[in-house]
This record gives sequence, C-alpha cells and structure tokens, in this order.
Amino acid sequence: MKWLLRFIAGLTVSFIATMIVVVASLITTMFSASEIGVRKFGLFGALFFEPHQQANGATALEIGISNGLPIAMIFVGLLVFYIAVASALERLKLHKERLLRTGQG
Amino acid sequence: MRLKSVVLLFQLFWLFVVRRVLGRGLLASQTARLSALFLTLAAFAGFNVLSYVVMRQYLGGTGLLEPVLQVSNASVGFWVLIAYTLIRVLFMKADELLKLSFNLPVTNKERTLAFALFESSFVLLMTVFVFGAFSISTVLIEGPDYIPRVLTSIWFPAISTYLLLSLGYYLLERTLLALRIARLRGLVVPMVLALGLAVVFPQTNELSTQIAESYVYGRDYFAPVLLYAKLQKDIGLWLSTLVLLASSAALIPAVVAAAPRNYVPMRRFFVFLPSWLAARKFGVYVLVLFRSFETMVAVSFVIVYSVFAWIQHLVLPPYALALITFQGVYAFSNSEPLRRMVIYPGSTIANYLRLVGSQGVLLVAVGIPITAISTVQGVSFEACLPVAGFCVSNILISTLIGIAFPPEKGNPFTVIIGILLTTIIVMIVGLGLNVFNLDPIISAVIFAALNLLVVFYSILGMQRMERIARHEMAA
Repeated sequence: MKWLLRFIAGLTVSFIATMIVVVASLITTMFSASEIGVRKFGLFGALFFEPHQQANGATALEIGISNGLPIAMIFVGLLVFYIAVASALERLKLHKERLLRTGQG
Repeated sequence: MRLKSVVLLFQLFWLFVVRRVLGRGLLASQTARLSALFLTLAAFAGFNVLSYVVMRQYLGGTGLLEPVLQVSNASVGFWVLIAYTLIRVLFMKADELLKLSFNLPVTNKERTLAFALFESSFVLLMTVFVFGAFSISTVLIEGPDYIPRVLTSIWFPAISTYLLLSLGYYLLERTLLALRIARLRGLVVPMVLALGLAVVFPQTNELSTQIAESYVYGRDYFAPVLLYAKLQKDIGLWLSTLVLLASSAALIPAVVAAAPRNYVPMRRFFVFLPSWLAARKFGVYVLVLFRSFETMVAVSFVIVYSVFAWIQHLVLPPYALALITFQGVYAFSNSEPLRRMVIYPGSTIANYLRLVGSQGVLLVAVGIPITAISTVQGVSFEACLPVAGFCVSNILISTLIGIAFPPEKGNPFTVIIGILLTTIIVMIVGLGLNVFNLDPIISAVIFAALNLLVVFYSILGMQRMERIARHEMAA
C-alpha cells in the first residue's frame, strides 16, 4: 500500500513537472523563432514551433509535438528520481528514529 | 485620528497573513513554501515572457501599440472593479481578523482605515499581476520613451479608480448604517458590485470599439477616462502627475471622512430550506451549504449576471455557473463540526460523497433555470454540456483545495494561496496538454483520469485529517 501511494504521488508530481518543462521549453522555443516559415525545434526535438503567413496576410502560429520520446523519457526519469528520493528520505527518517530510540543520537 | 495606529495595525494585519496564512496546510513545511514561492515567481516570469513574445510578434513595429494602449486604458476601470469586487467579497468574511484588534487602543475609524490600507495593498498586488506583464512588454518593445505613456494610460487611472471605488463603498456603508440594514451588507454590497460590473462591461466594450474606429479613420478620440494620457500627450507628464496628486489629495480625505465610525457585525446565515431535511446526514450537508454566506453571494452574482445577459441579449453558454462551484473551497471546513460532534462520523468515502453531492444539488438547483435562460436566448443545449463538465471538475478541484489548504473560520486569506497555486498548476497542465493536439476523446479521457486523481487525493487528505483529529482527541 505504501509503495502504491508513493508510486501514485510520483506519477502526479512527475506529470506536473513534465508539463512545466514542456511549457517552459515551448516559451523558449517561441523566443528563438522569429522568421516566418522556419520551423524551430525545442526540448531535444520534441516540440516544434512554426510561424507562417496566411493568405490574408496575418501571421499564424503552428505548435505541436514532432517526437514524443524525449517527453516520455523526461517523465520516466522524473518518476524514477522522485521514487528514489522519497525512499531514501524514508530510510533516513527510520534510521534517525532508530538512533534516537537506542540513545546513540 | 492617529496615523501611527493606522500604520501599526496595517503591519499587524500583514504579520497575521504571513504567519497564519503562509504556514498552514500543505504550506507548513519549508520546502513546500519555497517551492510555492518559486512556482509563483516562475509563473509570473513565464507570463511576462509569453506576453512579450506575442506582442512583439503581432504588434512590434506596426505602430498599433498606441491604440492598444488606449483600449487598455479604457478597460482599466473594469479590471480594477473586478479586482475590487473579488477583494471586497473576500474581506467581507474577515470579521475574525478585525476582532484581533478589538482589545487594542484604537478607534473604529483607525481600524477601518488600516483595513482599507491593507486591502489596497492586496488590490495593488492583483493589478500588478494583471497589468504588469503588459506594461513591461510594452516598455521592452518600444523603449523607455513609453514609460510615461504606460504610467498615464494604466497606473494613474488605476489609482484614481481605486480611490473612487473606496469612496463609493464607504458612502454605501454609511447609507446602509443610516437605513439600519448594515447587518445585511454581506448581501447588499456584492449585489451592488455585480450590478456595477454589469453596467461597466458594455460601456467598456463600446468605448473600445469607438477607440478602434477612430484609429482606423484617423480621428482623435477623447473620453474622460483617457484624461491622464491626453494631458501627458498634449502637455507633459508633469501635468498628469499634478492632476493625479490633486485628485488623490481631494479623494483621500473624502475616503477618511466617509469611513464609518461604528462597527456592525455581519449576518452570517440565511435560512432557506426546511429543517426536516436534517433528518438525514446528506440533508444536513445540503443545509450547511445552502445557508452559508458564500453560497448566497455566489448565487446572487449568478442571478444578476443572467438577468443582465437576458436584457443585453448576450448569447453565451452559462459559464457564470462556475462561480457557485468555487463554494467547494469552504465545503470541508464548513461541515467539519458535523464530523467532529458525533462519535462515529461515518466512512471517509461516504463523507466525501456527501460533500460533493450537496454541491451537485446546488449546481443542479441553480443550473436548471440558468441553462433554461441561456437556451431561450439561443444557445444550443450541446454548447451547455462542456459547462456542466467544467463545473463538475471545478467542484472536485475546489473541494480538494479546501482539504489541502483548509480555510480558517473568519480568515478568508487562507484560501488565496490554495486557489493561486491550483490555478497555476491547472493552467500549466491545460497549456501543456494543448501542445499535444490530442484527439478530443483522448483529451476527455485524460481529464477524467486527472479528476479521478483529484478525488483520490481528496479522500486521502480527509482520511489523514480525521486520523490527526482522532489522535488529538485521544491525547
């Protein structure tokens, strides 16, 4: 049960963190893309951003995902990192408690 | 009246917010506080960058910033009124905070003014959030020459509007006192503010259209709200500043004079539904929700808006219904005594279902007539369905906020942080998912899964709080 809860918390945290990374890279990619008709990539080629001219002269922005793999890898990496940190913290806490109990702290 | 007491009380109120609001619920741990601060700053910075990129892309070098600035100037009043309404409704519940100062040697007038100062600092923070990105991007794109224009088009009118609104509010409070209905101000003031919004909105729209038309035809347009910008353009910044100082010098003493001398506590509950409903547990939850002050305010807002939309022939899906779903923030803490006063409070899942179900009853009760008005206006029934989905999801999320950041009774500020953080996370997730351009059905499945996660965390949070309460009782 404890591991299941930790896993669900990890899923939530890494999902939100991945979304933050995606939005941040989207903004930085937007920053670098100023020429019309040139497709710029961000986040290791995962996101693309392309401003292009429409028939009526207005500028339209095309945003999307060109390759989902880097995003999936970021998500899995964050998940593993979260679970590792959470378990390490839990063990340290248990160790501290044990030391305090035996009077060695 | 002593100015020193006003400033001291103002400091006390801020100290209260910093110590009592920023250290509760999830924010009790230092790591959570730092992450929250970092997230807020990063969101504001991201908002600035996004606004800069979009404005440079569309407006840079086109000369269109001038009319855009004028249109923003025309809408400043409306935005300040929205910020004022939000803060005013929030502060209506701050009786407990005011009580902090009852055993201090200050007069009622000093207390009212310190509170007004405290409130204005909140409105200032909100205005910075709304107009900060626009102002910074304008100056970055057009250079420092635009600083005086931004000042006179946005910040000067904002200050004057705020002072005028404060004066109007205190005059209204005086009138209510004279009519001996000050106890009902919790209901009357939000209604008046909602009416104000309903009147100002079409006028702002009309003004914006006129400004755009004048720009297209090359005419010079003037309206009283554009006074500061006009003076700056024709004569100079010094005259605008002088006019601002003069009008503030006239308004501030008027606000001080209008602030009422006596304090009348507010009525908290309204009895609507018959008490036999209390025979069942679910009925008690429904009663708690329906009689609360926040529900009354939200429902009155929705009604005023719908009547206004009816009169103005606005053909829009009933998004105003979302207002009543924010009640969820108070649902858990308002019904807390129900679970504390019995030996066996029932299972957590059943309690959660009662919490959410009672809000569902309110949503259906208000939603049916409001949706009927919308469909009569010409909105198709299919267009109303997403609103229902949005409202249900909002109920679940705001109930979770109420559990994770439990609002204290009589201290409305505890809610702000929770709502702010949740809004940032919801916006980031929404924007992030939008990039994926997913199929609507897959998006719906993802959102449903996220809502299930919200339900899961709510029940987990409730279980945890019940466990803590049990330990407290045992100790």
